[in-house]
Amino acid sequence: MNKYFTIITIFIFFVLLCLVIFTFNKDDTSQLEAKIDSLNENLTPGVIEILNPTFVNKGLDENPYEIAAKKGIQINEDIELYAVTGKFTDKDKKLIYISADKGYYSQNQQVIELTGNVLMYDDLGNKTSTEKATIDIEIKKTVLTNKVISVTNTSEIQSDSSVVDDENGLITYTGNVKVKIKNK
Amino acid sequence: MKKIYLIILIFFNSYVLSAEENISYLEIESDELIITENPLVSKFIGNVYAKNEENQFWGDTILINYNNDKKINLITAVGNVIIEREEEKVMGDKAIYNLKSEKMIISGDVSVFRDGNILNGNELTIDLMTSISIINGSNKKQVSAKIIE
Repeated sequence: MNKYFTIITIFIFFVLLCLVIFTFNKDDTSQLEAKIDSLNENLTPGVIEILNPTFVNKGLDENPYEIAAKKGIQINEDIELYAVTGKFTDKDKKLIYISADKGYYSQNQQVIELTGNVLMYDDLGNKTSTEKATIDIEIKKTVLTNKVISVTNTSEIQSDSSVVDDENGLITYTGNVKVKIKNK
Repeated sequence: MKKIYLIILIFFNSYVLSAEENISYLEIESDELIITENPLVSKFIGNVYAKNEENQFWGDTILINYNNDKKINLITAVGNVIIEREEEKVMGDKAIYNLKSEKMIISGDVSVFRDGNILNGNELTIDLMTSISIINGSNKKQVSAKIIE
């Protein structure tokens, strides 16, 4: 009698154990399924992540430039860039270097938007910093917004915004313009 | 040898210091600035205020012309011009300051205020080297003065 009782007890314990394991597994599976569903929801079609992207135009059209970044995310035909650096040439073929925290490069429109610690400088020590810049590569026009500071060997210019029209040799600074010119 | 080196060093240092002393600064504030590259001209527009070591300028517009070495050679203020220097205040329609000749010509409806005295005329020429000022009238407006006794 005792033997049967032990067997029945073990059987009941075994069935209970199976039920517990099954229930826990079912919870894990449903959690996993929920995670996969949420990932699928977040994925946007046409988004590709690129490491160290570089865009070079060696230019038969006399407008060579190079844009590089640590990371890029291609969203349809535009590319979001992180830790951006680049090289452009002005109309006198002088090299202009750029760097910024973030960029948004439109290959079709040949426009790059730079944000966060934007720095533009050349080999002569001329430097311009701002918070946001939009460079139209084709027409060689740069629009700088938010806290523009330009420093050369002989002057320092501060303003709210600025437009550099390289093609027409014109630089406009607008809003709270403050200039200090060194003159011997 | 050490003495020669020391003399060269002292000479070089004094040269650097004297060169540094010759540097002057022009500070300008305005609503807008347009810089053209060829020829190099800076045009300050709107509520313009400029100052250097000796003079202060106010005007609607101030134009700065540079020479070939990119040094300022001419400052032109246009519209509601006010110039303050030493104990003198000059008002006019236009002022041209030639940095090379150190001459300033203020034209238009010119008024000079100094020690409570007022001098009116058509054109004022100030020679900053000799501190000689000449005020001229025109056919329409003679020079007039109001002097406190």
